[in-house]
Amino acid sequence: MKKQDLFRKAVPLISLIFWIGVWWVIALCLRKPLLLPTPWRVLCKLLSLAITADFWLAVGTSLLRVAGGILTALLIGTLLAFLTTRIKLLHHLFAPLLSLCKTTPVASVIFLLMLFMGRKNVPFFIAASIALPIVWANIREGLLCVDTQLLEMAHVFSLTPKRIFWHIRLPLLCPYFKAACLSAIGLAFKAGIAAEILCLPEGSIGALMYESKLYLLTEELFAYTLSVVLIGVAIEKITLWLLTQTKREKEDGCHA
Amino acid sequence: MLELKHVTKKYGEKTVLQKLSHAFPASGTVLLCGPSGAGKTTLLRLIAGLEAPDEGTVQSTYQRTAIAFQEPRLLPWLTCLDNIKLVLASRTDADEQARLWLSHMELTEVANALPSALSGGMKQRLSLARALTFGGDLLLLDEPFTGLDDDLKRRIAPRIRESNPNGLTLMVTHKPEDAALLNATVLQLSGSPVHSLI
Repeated sequence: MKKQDLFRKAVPLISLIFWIGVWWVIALCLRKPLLLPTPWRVLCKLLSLAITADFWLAVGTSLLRVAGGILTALLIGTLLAFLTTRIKLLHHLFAPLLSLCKTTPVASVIFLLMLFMGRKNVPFFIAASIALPIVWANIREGLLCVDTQLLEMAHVFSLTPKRIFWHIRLPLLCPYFKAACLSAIGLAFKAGIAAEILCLPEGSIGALMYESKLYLLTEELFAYTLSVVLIGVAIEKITLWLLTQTKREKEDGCHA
Repeated sequence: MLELKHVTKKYGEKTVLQKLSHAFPASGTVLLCGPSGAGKTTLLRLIAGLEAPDEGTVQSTYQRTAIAFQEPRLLPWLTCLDNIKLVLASRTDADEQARLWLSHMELTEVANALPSALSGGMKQRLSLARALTFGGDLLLLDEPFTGLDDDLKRRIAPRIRESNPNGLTLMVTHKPEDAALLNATVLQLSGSPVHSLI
């Protein structure tokens, strides 16, 4: 590996170490672990939590709720994008609704949803409502940005609609779908956890975080926050990996 | 039979072709020459049916038209081989035919490479291979020799000549001297206010 490549790969790690260092120095200077514990103590707390079944149950429950919301948004958002690109009337009909989803403060939506449904379901709907406009807008943009030259080529060589879809439209759409997934998942996950903190569904990370804050268990609060950050990063990396694998499989399939 | 009758084509205020009339021979190779902006590519697009004339008619009795566009228009996510196979629908000999034409265009070594790995001239040859593999009785080639050196042109020209023995091949080029390579008739697109092919 070249020195430059090594340096490029090391930069994020160095940057992370730097900021952990800053946190450590501030915590040591402040000497108030109730307000700001050191990274070491937070890490120890996280490890002690990670060996309990309750922690993993909470992680699993929260993930299931939020992932359900995101998957629903991916399905509905993709379908809406296709429909609103084809039928202008539907676009006019849904555009204000999706703008509303984008602009309404998350906390307002959380409180409103709490009035209409059980608090257990709110994080699911919040994750879906955050992800839906992002997915819809990205995929619609991808559908509208068709390469007319390639479509003309397809017309000249009498490609069937099925071939045009699989070999031209879908590959052109992939980057937009990838961008939609990456943006939506991160935001929806954070909003889903925020909804849990406000709705307090039993056995969720949000509820555990709220309890930590209530009893001033700052180390625990930091540990839960760290776990949410790590899970968020992991989800993003896994999604990226899955999308890359799908793309590769498709390419291999084409080559076969 | 391919006949143009008083064909006029405008893009906005600009008239690209004005009352052009011409009857092409039923078979053989014809080179369409003319300066840049003379309307050669527009004429090819009108013949292919990709655009409609504003006035006049384009009458064609050819059954199947293949085009090598000026820009290669390759699918960047498919290999060279798959780019050709794509247009052969579900023909049983698709792989064989695609490989044959890749070899004719001296592209065998890059059969499994993606177009991004090719030079401009190689992309042009791949686009040409795709059109020739697709086949047809009307073959429209828009500057297919762009980026090719003279030796390569000499080696490829017979393949073009032989690919459509019973139909008409129309080739747009800046170089009338290419006619000798293809045993082609040269038509010069020119004229103002009325266009003609001489």
